[in-house]
Amino acid sequence: MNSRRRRVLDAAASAAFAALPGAPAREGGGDALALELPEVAENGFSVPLAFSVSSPTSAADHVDAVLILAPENPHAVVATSRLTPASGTARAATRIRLARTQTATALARTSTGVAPHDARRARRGGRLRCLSPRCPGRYPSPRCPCTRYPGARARSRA
Amino acid sequence: MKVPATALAGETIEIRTLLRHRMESGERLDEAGVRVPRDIVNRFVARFDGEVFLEVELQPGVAENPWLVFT
Repeated sequence: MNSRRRRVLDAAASAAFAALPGAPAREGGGDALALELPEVAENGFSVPLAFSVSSPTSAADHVDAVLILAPENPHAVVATSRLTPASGTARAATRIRLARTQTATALARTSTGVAPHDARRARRGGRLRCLSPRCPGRYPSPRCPCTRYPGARARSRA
Repeated sequence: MKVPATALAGETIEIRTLLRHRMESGERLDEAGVRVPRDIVNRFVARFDGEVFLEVELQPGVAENPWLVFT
């Protein structure tokens, strides 16, 4: 990740956390976050993503918020989760969209103010086209109406 | 939604949910070149005994038919 992108990402993350109530996040600490993302995402419309934060999940020390960022998407913030000590563990999984090959980042904030994070690069693989008759077939293309962002109508070509 | 059939008190269980929703991103253009309006699930809240333990704000970057696994 180049320094400009890193700065933009940091700014986006702090802005996103600033919108959430709670203590400001700081770097470091013992908690570790592990992000799981496939190295090659055959279908950018549905990329499995999972994170887990090693945290005691107690009232005194628990994960408070987790941000998932995909900086190359039109909307860099993919999802924001708020967790409480009532959560069993700070683990979750979902499926996200990736507009192109990029490094996705998960950023957590604990109740003690620590902000563990992890980043994983996923390459957009496979050949995709949308079902529009105007789609030239190869994704992405400026002539294709689906190019601006992966959407529901696109299907992976086997 | 899928949960284990049985769980002991105090045990951590994994809950899997699947929402059927198209999660229209608001970025796509239709055949006429008109932007398809955004239509997404914004918020997902999970409660246990009435107490919120997970609250997710979803953005257009979440895939259609949002699938969420949590504990």
